[in-house]
Amino acid sequence: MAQKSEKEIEQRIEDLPTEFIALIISSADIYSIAQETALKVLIGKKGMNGAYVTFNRPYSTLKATIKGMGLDLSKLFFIDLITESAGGSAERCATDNCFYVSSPKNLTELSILMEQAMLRLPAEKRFVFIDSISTMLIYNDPDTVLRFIHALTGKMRLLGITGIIFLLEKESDEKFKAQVAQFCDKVITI
Amino acid sequence: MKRIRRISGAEEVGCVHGAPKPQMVPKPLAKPSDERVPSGIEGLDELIEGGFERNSVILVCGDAGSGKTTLSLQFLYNGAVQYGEPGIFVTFEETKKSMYKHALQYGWDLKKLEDKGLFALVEYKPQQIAEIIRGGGSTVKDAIDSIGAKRIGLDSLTSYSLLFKTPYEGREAVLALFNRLREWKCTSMVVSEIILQFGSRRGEAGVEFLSDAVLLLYYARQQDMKVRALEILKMRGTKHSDKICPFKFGDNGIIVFPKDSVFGRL
Repeated sequence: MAQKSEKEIEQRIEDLPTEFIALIISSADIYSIAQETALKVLIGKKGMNGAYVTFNRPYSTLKATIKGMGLDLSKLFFIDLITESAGGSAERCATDNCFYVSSPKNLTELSILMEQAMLRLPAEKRFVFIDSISTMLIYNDPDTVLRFIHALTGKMRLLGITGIIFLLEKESDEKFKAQVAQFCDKVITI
Repeated sequence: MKRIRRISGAEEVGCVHGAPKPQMVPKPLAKPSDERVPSGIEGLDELIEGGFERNSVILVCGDAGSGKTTLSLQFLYNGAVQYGEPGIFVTFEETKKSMYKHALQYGWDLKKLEDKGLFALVEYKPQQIAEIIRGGGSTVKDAIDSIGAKRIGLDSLTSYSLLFKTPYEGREAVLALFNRLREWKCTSMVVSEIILQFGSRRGEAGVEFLSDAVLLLYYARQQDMKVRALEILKMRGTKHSDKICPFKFGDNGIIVFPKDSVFGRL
């Protein structure tokens, strides 16, 4: 079942054109597989560079996971919203490609850092990866999250950046999903 | 697909369908002119047509810790270092020693500027300033003339207006002060505390009506964290932005983010 899902996810993401914003609605049991497959396609197959916004896994964990997948870590820039709020210490050194946001509630700071991260990416073939709106909703009210996503997708379109936004299937109501979907070019339900 | 040209403070390189993606090239600093005085604060000048109106009085309001003093000091520092416009900072609040020490955290060596004749910090008690204003202001004028100051910072109006027994007297005194600042032909930034309560504002006896421009600095609580933002409440003779923009304290002072938004309620 997992293998079939992985193939399906791989195919659906590979088929996406560039400069496209996709909302991926995934069930909890294959959420990790969906994310890893998406990264393998974007970085491994399409050779893209990206900004990875993480509300769930700290940068230190993600580094190890992505290396373990055999992907080139230098193709990713991270924005970590979990480490500092969970009481961890940010790894700040000149060679590290990670910004830290003090709290998952601080969408203002996230917006500022996203702009900086997007401008750091190479001129062509770039993406933004958001893991995940569901966790964003735990800390922020739906209206604020919608405003944020709307502003972010607008910036991504102006800069010609591909977007992959993750949402857990059963964690948000249909009205919210529909509102987020209107900001995206395609909804992929896995 | 037709790409929408991004409206940005930076110059774009290539924004045509099929051409390379826009690259953001930093825009050169605005230059002072007869009409405009750039602040040199990253992100601020593009909100105010390149700078403040020359010789205007700008009120900077905000709660304690919102960044008012830092903003006004940065205005003077940038004036001296980037634009060759000397400045005088009049303080009722902090000692010279303390101020110079705190400025160094942003890399602002005020002592060095002072030695070069580009900056002067004057410590006064509020009653001294009241006497100076009543007496024509020659002491401050002498300080201005001694370095050819083009910019003045004053911190703070709150201390000054507390001298007066009634709001009417306070307003009259502030009006006299502002008129004197205008006579001295300097662009002046005056710091004032203001109490923000659930969206309402209580100013200093309506002084916002006496000034040419009002900048409002927010240091607002959002749940268990605080957010900084800047609003241009008023600016005479300027097509200023109405947007509330987030700002941060960077390594070299305040940075305003005019293209970003504040998420959540202030």
